Amino acid sequence: MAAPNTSAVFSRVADIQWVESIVTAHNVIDLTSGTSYLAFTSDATNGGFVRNARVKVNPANSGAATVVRFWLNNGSTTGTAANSAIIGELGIPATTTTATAALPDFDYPLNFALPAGYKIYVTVGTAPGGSCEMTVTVFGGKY
Amino acid sequence: MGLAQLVAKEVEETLDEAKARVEAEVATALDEGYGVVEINIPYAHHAALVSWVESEGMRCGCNVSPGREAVLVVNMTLPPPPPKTVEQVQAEIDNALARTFASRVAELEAIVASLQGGA
Repeated sequence: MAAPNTSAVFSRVADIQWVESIVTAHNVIDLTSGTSYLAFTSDATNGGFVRNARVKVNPANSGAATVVRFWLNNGSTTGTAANSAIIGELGIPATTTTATAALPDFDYPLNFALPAGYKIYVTVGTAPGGSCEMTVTVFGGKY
Repeated sequence: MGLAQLVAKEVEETLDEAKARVEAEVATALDEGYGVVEINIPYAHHAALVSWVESEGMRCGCNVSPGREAVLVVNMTLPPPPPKTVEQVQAEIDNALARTFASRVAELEAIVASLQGGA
């Protein structure tokens, strides 16, 4: 058996990915139905590390209260329920459009290593409504 | 080429054309023995296509990638989720109406505040 690695592993390059135009609600128990948004795909060779996901509501439009759900997928089709698992939820309060104040940053800590090809999907429980959209940005690195 | 024609060109496939293609690809996948098939679709039609496939009796989801790349994921081995009850749909309608008017009022109030602040 090969000796286990006892040294810290650091990512070799930053890997920041995002998905925008999140507008469609999804309230099913898995990803086999409904609309899900692909926020991050880990490096196909060595995987990577994800630090956090930031949710921003478009400040140009008012948005309804909702919940953003984070799903971990093993890189295979979301059509099979066993390929994905819900790993977290983040409540987002209703927001009001403003040109004079900053809307809050909604950060969800991840802080785990992803195997090669794994993906992170997001869904929202309630549509933002009107012309409002959300963006989820995942900050990470490639091994 | 006029602007309207440029906009129309972005959606290269009509909903009916997309449905026909989805039907053909699902049939092909079934013939080849696959239980799940993934089909690229125009983002503009993703909600309608998901509803349509589920109304045809199959589980269907949609993955949206950055840049509005939409992929329909049809699982021919599973039935669609149980339909919502009348009460659930009515509650969603009531909620959507309340949000639409509340958010619009908030937008207008913000505009008024900015105009009054600049007066």
